[in-house]
Amino acid sequence: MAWMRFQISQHIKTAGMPVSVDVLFPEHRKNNCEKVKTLYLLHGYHGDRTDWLLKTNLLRKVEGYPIAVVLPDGLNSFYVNLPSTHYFSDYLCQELPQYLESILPLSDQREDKYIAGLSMGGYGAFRQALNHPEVFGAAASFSGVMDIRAMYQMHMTTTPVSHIFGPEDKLGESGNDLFAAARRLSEEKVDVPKLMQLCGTEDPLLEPNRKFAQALKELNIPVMYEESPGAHDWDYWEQCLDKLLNFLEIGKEVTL
Amino acid sequence: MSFVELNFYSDTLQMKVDVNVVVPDCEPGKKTKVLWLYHGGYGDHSDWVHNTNVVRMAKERGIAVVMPGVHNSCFVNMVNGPAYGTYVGVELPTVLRSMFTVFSAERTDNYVCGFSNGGYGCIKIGLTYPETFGYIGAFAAGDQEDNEFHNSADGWSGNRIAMFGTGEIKGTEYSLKHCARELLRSKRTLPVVYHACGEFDPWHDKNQLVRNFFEGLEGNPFHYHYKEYTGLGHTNVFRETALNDFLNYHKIGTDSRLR
Repeated sequence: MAWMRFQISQHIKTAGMPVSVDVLFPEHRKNNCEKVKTLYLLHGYHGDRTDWLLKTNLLRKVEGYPIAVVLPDGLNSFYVNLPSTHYFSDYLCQELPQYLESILPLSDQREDKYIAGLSMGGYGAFRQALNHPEVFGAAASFSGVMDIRAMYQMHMTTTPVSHIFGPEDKLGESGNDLFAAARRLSEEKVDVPKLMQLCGTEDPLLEPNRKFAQALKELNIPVMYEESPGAHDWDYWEQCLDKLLNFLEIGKEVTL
Repeated sequence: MSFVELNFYSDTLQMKVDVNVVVPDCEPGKKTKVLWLYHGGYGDHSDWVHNTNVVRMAKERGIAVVMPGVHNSCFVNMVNGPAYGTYVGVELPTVLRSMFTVFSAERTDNYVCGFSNGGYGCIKIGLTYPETFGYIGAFAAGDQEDNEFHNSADGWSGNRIAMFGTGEIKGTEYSLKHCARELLRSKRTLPVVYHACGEFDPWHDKNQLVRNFFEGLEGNPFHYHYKEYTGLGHTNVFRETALNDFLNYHKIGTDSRLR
């Protein structure tokens, strides 16, 4: 796997500044003519694009798979379009894939694009998949923050919750409430991305995860929901990576 | 435009390598010209980026730039060491073209340039792989064959021996003149050679030996062009100016913007 660190200037109009993104690229894949499947892998709150690379064996685990991994910076944005600027959702769903697909041989086909993340990134992955089902073929949440409405009563973020997700009374229509987004999706006649939702049994976010998985079930939206022993930590998220590769059903090409 | 730091495993060198890449903006469906730019002695893949405005120059002209690091190897296949020549001349273009779909693979869109040891290196690589690179731009370049070698058993000597062995370089693949003669004999396609040097360069005399050789070839088969810089030496100001003038000379991304 080649490691690339991009500093992209001026292409990401929504950011209004250069953006950095890391990409793991399979330069030794068997068929150089085929477009490459891509996984957009999101970090959590307090984190950045280096997290997955430095804190897990991500590179070792994806070595030999014909897949590229894109590691964007999400700051503490929850990967939504912030009320002040249209940024992280548009960036993830449109601008970043469009730019990378224009210079790297990444596939622009829905079935070849996946999005996954931990905690804030788990929420972010589902937020994009449920609001923009035409972009990603599969999405996975690891210990995701599934219940945003409940956060308005808490004081866990450095920024007021309404500055990230918008005013509470507009939450339902904003796309930022996963429950409302899932309801809207179930009413549309569109292909739903393949969904995987994982949570550790020792994770404080277990209840909201169960609640959300139940909501999807009631809406007849298929999801592979799995609880297993684990906390809200990197040991658990490292295991989630193995489950993700199985879930995406991409065959390994090279044994190293 | 993107500035990219790239790290990958080189099958040729059997180790991980670092490369800095500038990817310019490109119209959809179009390909970009590529400048393969080599560092000097004691430098690496960050050398040109840190010591000149190459990134801004590339962005303004809309040209891609690839800057490999070659660990003090002078860009050659070392006698007692890895094959850095094959790495930069064959593997690097192959790998980068498989990654960056906007890179043109036409030889007339590919320029190999370098400063100091990289000046020697770019002439050597350009003469060895003329089907890959249509143009050479050497900034302060001497021929290794013109350096007398006395083994003083120090680090420098050790490095020289690892690269070229203990013997004469004349008549070997490490001699630029030998490479040029061999290429002319082979009847393969020929690169266009551009060579610049500052008047105060400590190796000015060595540069003149290269100049005399190319100017002495009948019919100027390499379309050799030499440019002397009064008032400049073996410096960062020199190499940045020389690169800019080289790009102007070949009208790369200039349009109405000759600077």
